[in-house]
Amino acid sequence: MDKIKSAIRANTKAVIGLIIASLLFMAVLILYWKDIMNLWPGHDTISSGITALGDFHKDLEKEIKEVHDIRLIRENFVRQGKDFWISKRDGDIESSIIKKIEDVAKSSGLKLQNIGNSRLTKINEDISFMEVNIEAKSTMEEISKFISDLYKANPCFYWRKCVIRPFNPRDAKEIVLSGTISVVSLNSDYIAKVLMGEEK
Amino acid sequence: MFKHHSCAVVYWDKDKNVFGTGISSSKDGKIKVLQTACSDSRIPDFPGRLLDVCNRLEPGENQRIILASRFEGAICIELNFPKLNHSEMQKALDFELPRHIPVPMEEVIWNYRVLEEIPGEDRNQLHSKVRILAVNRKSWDSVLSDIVASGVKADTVIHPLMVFSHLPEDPESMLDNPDELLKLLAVETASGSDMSSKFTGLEKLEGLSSNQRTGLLICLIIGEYVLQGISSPESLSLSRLPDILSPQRFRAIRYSAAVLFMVVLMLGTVLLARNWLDARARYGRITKEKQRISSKIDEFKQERLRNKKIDELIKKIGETNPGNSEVLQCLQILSQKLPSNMWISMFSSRDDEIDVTICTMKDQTAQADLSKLNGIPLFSSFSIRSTRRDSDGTLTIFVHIVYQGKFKRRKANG
Repeated sequence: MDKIKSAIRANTKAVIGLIIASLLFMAVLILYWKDIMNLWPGHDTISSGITALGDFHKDLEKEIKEVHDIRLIRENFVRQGKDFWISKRDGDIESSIIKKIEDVAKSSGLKLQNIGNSRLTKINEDISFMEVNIEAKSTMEEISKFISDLYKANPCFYWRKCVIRPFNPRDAKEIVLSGTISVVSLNSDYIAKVLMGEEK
Repeated sequence: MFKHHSCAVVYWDKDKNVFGTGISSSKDGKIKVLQTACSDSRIPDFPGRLLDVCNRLEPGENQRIILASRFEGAICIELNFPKLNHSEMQKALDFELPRHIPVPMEEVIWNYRVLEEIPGEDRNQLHSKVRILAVNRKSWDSVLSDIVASGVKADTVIHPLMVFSHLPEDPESMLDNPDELLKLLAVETASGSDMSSKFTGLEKLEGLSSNQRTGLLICLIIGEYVLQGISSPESLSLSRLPDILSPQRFRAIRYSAAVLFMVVLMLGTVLLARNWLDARARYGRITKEKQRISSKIDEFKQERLRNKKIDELIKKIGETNPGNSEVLQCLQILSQKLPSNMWISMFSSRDDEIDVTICTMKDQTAQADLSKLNGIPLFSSFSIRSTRRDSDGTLTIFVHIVYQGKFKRRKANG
């Protein structure tokens, strides 16, 4: 003990310097404890990291599922691109749609008695419906063929209204078809590019 | 407190003849003389003789080594002081000694020993009888240099007079006279002149010269004082010995302990380093995985953002109802599933709602036949609204069907 005391007395400046350095070291240790702990991650830090990683994995799985579903819907939409009327691709709908229906009727051997009264209904800037009234009197075979050909044709023709009835209730040879055909038209240039495969 | 079980005492007289003895306390309370050694006159120099005696004593590591010397110009006086503690006594002596020592205090070093407590003049206050021994500083330094030169290690260097309880008129001359020493020993041990009552192994002193017996007797007296453990032998030293003179005891154990400590420290460091590396590696992997997942999620979000317009459009198309594209399918199913005795006289659809007029001549089985159409998955609802019996016997059934929306766009999707 005496030796220590005499050594301290002999090196007063060094001892004071050592005490100051120790205090500074302690201060640094207290102030930057969190950063120091990050340098040496303990069990708690690793455990919380693993828990957070678990949450991340759950978020990722959820995101993957959602993105997968959205991608599937998007791919289907792109695949069924021909079902929609794209002005850029198919031309002006108002002037072309009647001709398209007439072509289908002609190819199926059906003579349309009446076609027209086309109406464009705008849903928003990008989507609109074109509705056309048709009326025909023919045999069931021809009408069936027309409906079938219309089903196979592009774009997709929707029946807003479809009535098939015999012209004379006592004679089923002549059948009357009357209805309203609807076509979905997409007007956006961007969507047109996507559906035409110009943009992915 | 200061009791030791064995020690080695080495004493040299004025002519630098060296004597040494190794003693230990035995269970019967006696002191056993283990070894004795006297200097070889053939060795010319004092350090050589000192080393020779010490080597012959072969002191063990557990033995205290006491060196006792006669110093030139040593002054030994006894004074009475009021009872004081050590620091106060030191101050009192600092003040008092210049009056009793006829040389400047700077030239001497001194030490004291409290011999006994005696009653004071007023009988109420206790006084201390103190023996002070002062020697010339040069003499002390000379002795120390001789010891250093010999290479002998010691726990303390004392003057023999410091250990005696009672001193005659001329103490210095007593140290050269064996008869006087025996008398003193008798007083010290309070057992007459018979040394055998206190010591065993005294036969080692037989056949020695008077000078040698004197030296060895002094060694025994000093040794007895040390083994009594009244005070530490170091406290009788005139000054603190330099570190170079301190004996290195239990060196092997110390080195082993140091090596063990180093090994433990090294293993601890390795363990900590390994722990640190493992923790860093694990935490690094976790952080890396989190970053990877974050970047993947960001990637998905960017993709969503990029395709926001098209996704919103798809959603909007899904919400709108352009009509029924599956009229053909409905007709096909009806024609396939309808029994051969039934025919459709009218088909009317408005979006997903379908009205069908079915005619039949066999009205007995009509209900059962139509119920078969109820299970068609393409239709979510199949209900008979009304029936009508015509004059020709035909049964007309008005049926309402709801086309199931999920089958819409089958053509496009399929």
